[in-house]
Parts: sequence; C-alpha cells; structure tokens
Amino acid sequence: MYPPRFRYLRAESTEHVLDVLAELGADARVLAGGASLIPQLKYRSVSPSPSVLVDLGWLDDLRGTSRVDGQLRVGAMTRHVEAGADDVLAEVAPGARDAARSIGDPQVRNMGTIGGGLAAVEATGDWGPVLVAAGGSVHAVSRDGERDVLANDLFAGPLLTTLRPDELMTEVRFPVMAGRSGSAHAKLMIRAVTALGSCSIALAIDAADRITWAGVGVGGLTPYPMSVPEAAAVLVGQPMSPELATEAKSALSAALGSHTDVKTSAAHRRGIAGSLFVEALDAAYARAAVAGVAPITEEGAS
Amino acid sequence: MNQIVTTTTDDVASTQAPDEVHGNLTGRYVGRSVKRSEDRDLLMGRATFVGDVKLPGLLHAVIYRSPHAHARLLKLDLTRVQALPGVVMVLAGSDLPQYVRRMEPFPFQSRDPFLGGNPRIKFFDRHGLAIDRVRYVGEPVAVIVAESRYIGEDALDLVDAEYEVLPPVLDAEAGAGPDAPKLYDSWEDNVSINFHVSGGDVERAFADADVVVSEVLQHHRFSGTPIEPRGIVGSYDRNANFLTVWDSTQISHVVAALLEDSILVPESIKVRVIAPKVGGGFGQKWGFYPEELVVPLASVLCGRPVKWIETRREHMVATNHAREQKHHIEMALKSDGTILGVRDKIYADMGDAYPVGGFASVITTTMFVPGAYRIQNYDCHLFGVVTNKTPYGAHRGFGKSEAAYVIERMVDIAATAVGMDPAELRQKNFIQPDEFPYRCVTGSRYDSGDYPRALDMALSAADYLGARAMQEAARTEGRLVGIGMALAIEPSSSTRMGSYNSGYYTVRIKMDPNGRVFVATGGNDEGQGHATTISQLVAEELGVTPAAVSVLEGDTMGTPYGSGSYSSRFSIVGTSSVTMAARELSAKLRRIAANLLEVDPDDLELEGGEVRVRGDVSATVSLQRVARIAYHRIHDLVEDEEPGLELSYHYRDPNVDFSADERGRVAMFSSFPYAADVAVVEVDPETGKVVILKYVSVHDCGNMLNPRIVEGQHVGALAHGIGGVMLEEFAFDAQGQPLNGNFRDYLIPTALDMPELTLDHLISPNPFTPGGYKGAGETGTVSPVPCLANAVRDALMPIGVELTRLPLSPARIWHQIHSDGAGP
Amino acid sequence: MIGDERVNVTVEVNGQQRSGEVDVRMLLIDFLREELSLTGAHIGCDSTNCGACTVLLDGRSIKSCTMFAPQVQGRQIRTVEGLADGETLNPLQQAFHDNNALQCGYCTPGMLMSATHLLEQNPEPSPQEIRQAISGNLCRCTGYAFIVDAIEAAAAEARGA
Repeated sequence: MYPPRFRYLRAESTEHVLDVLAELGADARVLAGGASLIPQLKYRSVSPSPSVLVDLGWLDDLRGTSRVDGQLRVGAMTRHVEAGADDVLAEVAPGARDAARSIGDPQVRNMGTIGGGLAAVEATGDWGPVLVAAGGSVHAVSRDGERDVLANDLFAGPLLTTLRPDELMTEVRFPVMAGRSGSAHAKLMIRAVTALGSCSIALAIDAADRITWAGVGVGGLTPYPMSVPEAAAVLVGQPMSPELATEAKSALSAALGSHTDVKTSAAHRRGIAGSLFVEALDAAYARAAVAGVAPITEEGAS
Repeated sequence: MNQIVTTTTDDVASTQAPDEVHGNLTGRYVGRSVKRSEDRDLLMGRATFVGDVKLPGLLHAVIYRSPHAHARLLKLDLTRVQALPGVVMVLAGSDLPQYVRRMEPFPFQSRDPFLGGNPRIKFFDRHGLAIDRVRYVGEPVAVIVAESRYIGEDALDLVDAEYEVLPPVLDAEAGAGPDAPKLYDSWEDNVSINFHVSGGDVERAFADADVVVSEVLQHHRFSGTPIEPRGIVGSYDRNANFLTVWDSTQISHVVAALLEDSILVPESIKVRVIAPKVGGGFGQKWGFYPEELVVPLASVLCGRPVKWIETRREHMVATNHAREQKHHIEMALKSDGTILGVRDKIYADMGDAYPVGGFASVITTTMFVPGAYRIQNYDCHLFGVVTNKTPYGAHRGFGKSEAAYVIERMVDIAATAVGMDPAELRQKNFIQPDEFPYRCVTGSRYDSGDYPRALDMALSAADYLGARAMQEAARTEGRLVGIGMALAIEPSSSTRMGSYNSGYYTVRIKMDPNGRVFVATGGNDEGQGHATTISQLVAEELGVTPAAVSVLEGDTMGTPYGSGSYSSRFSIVGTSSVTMAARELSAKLRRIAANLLEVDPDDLELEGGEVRVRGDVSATVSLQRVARIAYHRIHDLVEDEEPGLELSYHYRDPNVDFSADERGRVAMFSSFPYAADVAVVEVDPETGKVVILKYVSVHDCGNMLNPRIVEGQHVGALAHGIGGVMLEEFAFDAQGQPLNGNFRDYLIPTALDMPELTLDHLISPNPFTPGGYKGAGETGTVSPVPCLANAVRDALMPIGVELTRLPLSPARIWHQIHSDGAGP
Repeated sequence: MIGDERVNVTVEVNGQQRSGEVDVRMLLIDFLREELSLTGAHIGCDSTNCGACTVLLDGRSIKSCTMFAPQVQGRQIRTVEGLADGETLNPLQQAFHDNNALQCGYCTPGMLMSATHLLEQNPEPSPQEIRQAISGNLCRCTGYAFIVDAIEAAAAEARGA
C-alpha cells in the first residue's frame, strides 16, 4: 500500500516550517513520527491529500521536557518512549507516564510523538484523555502569533483538531499542581496493544484527604477524546470513599452519551467506563496520597 | 530460488533430544529433536519468498476490486487508467473469455453430479474477474499492470466504475429461503451445497430418549491470516510456450494443472509452478484463486514478468475466510448420560461461490459431528448457502473444528441437563481404547487413541478438583470463574472421490555416484520443517547423516506430481512414502553390496555411510563404492539389476475408501490425532473481558518424528485456536462492508495474549503407517474453541446466561450477559 | 515549488554507507528491499501492526513500512542481514535455531531486530518483559513460546549465565 505523490521538505527550523505553512496552508502537512499519518497516507484516506510533507524529524528543539512557569512543557516531537522514560513527567503527571508506556507497541513508541498523537485525534488515542484530565494545553505558533489551546478545546471531532492549517503545535503543557496530586490512566485492552477504551483521572487532595480538584478524560468511549466534568464535579470537595466512587462512576456513565459503532454499543461502553473509572480513580488517589510515589505498575495502569 | 534444503553439519552433533517422550519411537534420527535445516537462511534474512523474486523487466500488477457486497456493474471505464504514464496493460473481466476457459472447480475436479447426486453442488462459471455482477467486497474486477507498484496504486484511483447496488445476502439461513435476494439468476435459490448423511436409526434413538437437548450454535468467521500475504510472479517464455509461476501456494502441482487447464490462448501452454519459501499457509494458500489465473495470464500477454503481492487489506477480503456455520443440533440421551443419537441441521455461510475449498470443508463437518463418542445413530443435513461475503475456504482444522465445537458444546449442555459432571459424561460415552480401529457412523475408520486416559491426564494436570473448589469459593464472592474442557479429534490426511486430494504421496529418491542423497516429493512446506524431518527418515534407513540428504519440494519441474500440503498429510502419507522409498533404495544398495561381498542381502545393514555385514565389522563397503558400481560399473551388477540408484515410490493411504455409500458415508480421513484440553477462566461482567487463568493440553499425535517440531506445531496451533475463539472475527455491517481491513481490526494474538500452557503427550501410534505418525499441526487449532467456550459458559452459569455467540471478545460476552442481543 | 519529488538518500546500513536516488514517497522498507536488495525485512501488513519490517534506526526498533526513505537521510540502520558474522550466526540467531523459535520464518527478521533492541536495553529481561518487547511483532506459526525461550537463552548466554 503506497501513498499518493507528494513533495518532501526537510524542516530546517520552526521558522522555516511556519513560513511554509503560511504559504501553503492545508496544502502542506507536517510529518511528526508518522505513526498515524503515514498509514493514513498509505490507505489514501487523507483528504485533501497534501502536496507537501514537511518533515519535523530534524527539529531537536521540539524534543524534551522543561519546567517553566508552573508548567511542564513537553516538546511536541518528543517520542512516546522518551516521554515514558522522563522522570519529571512521571512526577508531575504519572498518568502521562502510564499512557506513554502503554501506547501501541514498542516500535510505535519508538516512532510516534506526543504532538503527532494529539494531532491525530484517534478515538482510542491515549494522550488526549490524559491531557484533558490534567487540564493541560498545547502551544501553537504561526506567522500570526502564538496561543495556548486548552486540551478540551483542541479536539473538533474524530481525526480533527481546532488548530489552523498554518499553525504548528510546538509544545504540550501539563500544569504542575502544588501539594498532593496524582493522576492515572486506565485502559481496557481487547488484546495487548489494542484498547477498546481508556479513562484518565487527575486529582489533588488537601491535608484532610479531601479531593480539591479533579479532571476526568475518556478515550474510545466517545467518538473522540473528551473531558467528563460531570464526574469530576462529583469528586470535588469530598473525601474518597467507595460510595463517592460509585456516585462519580454513575455520573460518568450518564454523561457518556450514545456512542455505538462497529466495535461495541454505548451500553457496553458505559460498563467499561465505570470499570476503568474506578481503576484510574483508585490509582490516582493512591498516588496523590503518597507524595512523589512512583506509578503503580511498570507498563501502565491497565 | 528453488527450495533445496540440506541439513548443515553443525546440526548433526546436536541430535540427541532432551525432550524424549515415554513410548515414542526412537532410532538414530527418528524420534529425536534434530534441529531444523531450514533455519539458517531465514535467520540471516536471505531466504527467498515470492516477494523477493526479482526478474529483469519485472512489472507489477494491482487489482481493482469491488467496493460493494452485491451490485450490478453498469460501467467500467479504464481509459484514464491506461493513459497514466507507467501503466502497461489493463485487463477487465470482459477481456478474459478470449484467453481463458472458465476456471476449473476446486477441490472437486468435476461439475458432474456425484454418485447418487449426494452431495448436490452448484458451480458458477468464472474467468477470474467479475464481468457484470459483483458478489462480495474485494471481488477482483480489473487488473492493472504498471512499471511499479506505486504507479499501479495511483492508477487504481483513476478507475471509473458505476454500480447498481443490490440487496446483499448476509445470513446463510435467511439466505436459503425462497424470499432471499438471489446471487445467481440461473439458480433456483442460494443453496450451493445440499448434502445429507446418516447412519443407524436416529428416529428410534430420539423415541427412546429420556432427555433431549437442543441448541442453536453459531460458529463465527475467522481464518489463518499468514504473516506473508499471498503473492505471485508470472514469467513467460514465448519461444518455449512455457510459463513459470512463483506462487505462495500450498499446492504447486495442482495450481500448475489448473492453470494449464484454464489458459486457452496460447494453446497448449506448459506451466511450471515454484513455491519458494512460503510464509505460512494454514489453508489460506490452498485453493485456485482468481489472482493465480489472471496474474500469470498478464505476464503472458505483456511478454514481461509480472508480480502481484497481496496487501493486507486485500488479504482480509480476497483470501478465503472459514468456519462460519450455524447448527440446529439435538442430542438424545438416557437419564444415566448415555448418548443415544444426534441430529443436526447445518447452514454454512459459504460466501461467494469461488473455488477455494469451502465445499469440502463444510462436508467434512457433517462427517465428524459425532466426535470422540460412541454415537452410531446420526443424521445430518447440510445446506451450504452462498452469501455476499468473502468465499469460505480451507483453514487449519478444515470443517473438523466446527464439528468439534458443536459436539463438545452439546456434551456440556447435556451434562447440565442430566445433572452430571461434564468429565463424567464424556468418560461414559467415549470410544474406548479397545474399540480401535473404530468405524464411525459416517464411515471413517479411527485409527487409534485413548480418550479416557487423555482426559484424565488433562484434568489431573489442571488440578480439576482444586479448580472446582477455587471456583466454588470465587462464586461465593460473586466472581464468574468457569472451567471448561474438550476432547477434540482432528481427522487428518483427507482424500475424496472426484477431488484433487488423491490419497497417495509420491517420493523420488536418488543416491548420486558420491553417495549423497536427493529427495524430491510432491508435497509443499510452509514452515513445517519437512526438509529436516525427511532427512531424519532417510538417514535412519540409509545409515547416512541427515546432512547427506537434500530435499526439494514445491517446484513442479523437479518434483514428482503431488497434491501438496493440506490435512496434515505429510505426517501420515508423506512420511510413509519417504520411509518406503528409502527402504527400497536401501534394499537395492544391499543387493549390490551383497553381490560384491558375496553374502546374503539380508545379512547386511547400512550404517555410518557403509554397507556392513551384521556382526562383522571388517566386511564393509562404502556407499560411494556401491553407488559407483550402480552408475559406472554396471557389469558388476547381477543380472536383472537396473543401473542407477534412483527410484520413485507411490504410497497409497491404506485407511481410506473413495466412494460414498447410499447414506452418504465415506471413509475420507485416515488418521485421528486428538487433544484433551482443560481451561480455567474468569469473566468480568462489567467489561465482558475474559481472562484465561489456566490452560492445559494433552496431545496425542502418535509417534513423534521430531518432538521439538511437533511441540512447536502444537503450541502454534493452540495460538490459532485461542486467538480464533477469543479475539478473531471477520464481521460485516448491514450493507456487507467488511469491518476488518487490517491487523488493527482483525486481532490475532500477540506474545502477551498467549496464556501459559501446560502441555503433555500421550502416544497411540498410527497402526496403518510404517512410522506410526499422525497429523501434528492442526489439533491445537480445534481444541481451544470448544474448551474456552465451555469454560466461559460454565463461568456464566450462576447468572443464568447461555453462551450462544463467538468469539469470546469483551463486546460479544458483555452483550450476551446483558441480554440485549449479541452486540453490534 | 516547495519541496522535492526525488531525493538522494545516503544512509549507513549495517556499518556501510549506502545511497540511492528515490521518489520521496518511497517507503523505507522498499528502499531497503528494492534499492539496496536487503530483502530480510518483510512486508506483512502495510499498517504498522505486524512488525515483519522491523529494523533498528539509530539503535531503536521501528517499523520500516511506516517511514519514508528521505526520513533516514544520514542516519544509521541495522537490519537482520547485519547480525551474523559471515556464516556464523550471532548468539541471538543461534538461540532461535537451538530453541526452534521459527517455523515459516517470515516474521523472524523483524522478531530478531526487536529482540536485539531489547537485549541492548535490558540484558536480563524477564519472560514478561520479553513478551512486552515483541508485542509489536506478530507471529502466526509459533505461538511465541519458543521465541520467548530463545530470547531468554540468548540473554543468559550473553551474561555468561
């Protein structure tokens, strides 16, 4: 299976990319790790098919993490394998590490990037729910300026972001929470490597073990990654208890809507959501309760 | 590029197997885990698969396929395709009748009615590409030949076709009815196979029954999906009117014959088919596919070699599927658990009527529903129904898997009905060891086995009583833990009247003037390790090392005619033919040496590259010297001894009959390996996810020629069976669009999905063959399907849910638990 | 016009500089197989799922069906052809042979490269870590058990255990 013809441009710098995008708009597509875009091109399912691919693989300044202004900034070209090995990311957003270590398979983690993963907006993508739950954002730049787009505002639909064709996602930003916080990402695997759905939770607790802040994101359970504020709202202000988890889980299921497709029904998705929610909540809470503790499992919380 | 394999010297030192199984037939080389001679090239990345064949001027074919499940093709305009630079030729369905006859049927050689009109099979004339009607998504419609695969795929975007979409038939039972849309206007209905088989007095059995259990059991569609997709290269020599075809096939000789049959112009073309390294077959490469006709034809018409390599997306729709059947089955029992009789009505979803072997597969199911049990009252009616799906073809387990699924499910269902433990009900009804050879109700003669002992071994390895206690405890906590078992027979080495499966196996063996041995067979290898095991058998008989033996398979020019690889027949007729050929050669060597040494040939033995007088180390002559006499000093031969050391052996399967009797019964399979499996599972009712906690398989395939290879075959087969029942399904939407386009949607197990396996062996040698071997590579595909389904059924019992649908995927299980249908 | 339709790709493959002028849409797997005649890596799925095309790029396992040839300009690639020393199998290949870890052999080159990557990262992997490491490589013949054994044996051999 082979892609239609295109022209190839090796990106020399971010500025170079912005110039090209400003000139070509939707006629150009940036190529990050290629884990999503290249199969789509090979299936000839990208419409319109880009006439130029701008290869970002050479832009080392878009790779790596840094802590700036209460945020952890992850370069958009950071590969999943690098994110999964990043100690700072693991500390700030353990759920992100769960995700990074469970995306696809080893080769995909060696190839794919966080920015590419987010921009692909695949239903069962992992970075979407993680970033939504964390209340994070992406940083987008263009010739016309730069802006932060909240994760919750990034996804416009399946395979679709709200970024403009002339914008380049350069960073993914996780808020660094003060005090006791934790997050976790749980997945239901149909088979190893293939998830049916995921649930990500980030939360903070006070000294009295009350939940002071929570974010909930889901993947695969809705047509594209979404935040579920209804479930988060149930948690906030409460101490953790089985009853609270059950109540929040019901709120999550109720908020999910009726996403039925060839994989499974909405009713089944609600069942899965409940199970994943409890798993992620327990792990996130446990992490928050023990400051600086490492994630519960080596290879994701599933 | 031919597949000549020689055992290398470094392997000879390591022939002592660490894993000998008690009771196995062992010799110098047989019964030992000799390391595979095939490995080296594969490990170094220099083996030649079809995709690696490069020829000067090579062109690349791509195939335009139907995007609809059922439609009239109103217009096919290839003008823009032809105009694309780099496109060399296009072929549409309407072009073909001038070059090819209708494709011959497969595996049956005849369209004529079978004896007594049973089975009644309908065929439809095909020329390889659809002409005015398409009947499944993926049906080949046009061939585009281009300078590169990239250009070819560009050209696909330029095909201008118009269709009138017709209502699809997507369910076999509904499709059999008079009101269903018809796929073939000339047929009175969609039933392509109508077959009835019976034995004993089934009416009486049901009249006498204390208990009758009945169920509708559906087996889902899945298949073998080898990692190497299909591939073909055709190259035509105009001067010699000779077509060479490299084909990733299990049946080189049959494809060659069918191609010669089919090609009309040029007249009397000669065809050589070479199967080089083949990256897995599993039945998917056993058939005569449209591409196997049109790609070689394109090379003839272009006068340049043409290559076609299937994409995975094509594979999912264009390579045969298997297994989809619905059984309305009833079992009659005494209240003490004695099974009196079985009645079954099968609707097999044949997909479209293409010649890839499904016909034979579903008929096989009817033969083996009685399974491992003393069931002599049996009646089965099969309706094979054409639908707008990918054709039903062969797949490892070939119809027997479907039979094992329903009988093993029914035994559990019956055990519940009469209040017995499923193990106990099995033990009560098993064919007993002293009843072999056992004539089953449908005519085959089961060769040997010990079912009670195998099941006992499996139950004991699984700590059955402990598992039941654990289950009891788990149930009190509200957990859904289940225990399943199955004893699955896997009839092997099929043969049948009027088909290409002819029940014999030819081996040509030659010792050259230097004492080196060359073996060529009519078989094919797709990873089974034939070259290694053939060299073991030959070395055993001739007293040479395996390294002295080279093996050729898969090339029709260099090998004797044979029907290839299917039905585990290498293990039965293949090994037998090799052994008998080697014994004939051994006898000749001893006759020549006897003349030289002036002793009786019966006093001679072959050992260490020499012919020796038994018990007299001084009286020896080297094989090379004997060979020189046979070839170069024929005046030293006794009168009537033919020169040379080359002979053919045609081994006929002694345990089959060819013709069906008046009740449809025929002894079509000759050897009956089996496995007793036990599984423990837990089901999460909230997600529908099934976790396999324990899996035990006790396998009996007779003697094991190379125990390590046998073990590898069995573990690999279990992965197919476990994947098939847990994950894999070819599904279609309401319009007949396939939902599985690649390995992202069609989920085969990864290394993380295989449970830890506890394996054991039992050895009941095949009494009909010289080596006592049975098929070793298919049983594992069969046994996990009923075993795990029974385990899940057992798990769901406390919540009153009867398992009716496969696979055991989270979606299917959840929807059966929550009783709002079987899911999307 | 922005961008190129054809480019010259120079890359170090198994320690040797190799180059070729190709259409920019040529996949890395085709560059290796067709341009450089390194046919060890195979195409099994076209969609980044089966891993038969796995090679090491700058030391990391990747799927060469999901990368364009120009993306590897100036980088280092290792393929299955680079494992053996002449006719001597390397310890991992030898362990595959000793443990009957292959049947049809079509997935084997990719499997070997994933295992090579694993053992370079983790000389003492547990069976579960081995299964993780090859979870992007589908095998339809073996059921994986002997592959896991082989990788474990190769690791033990390398440690002198």
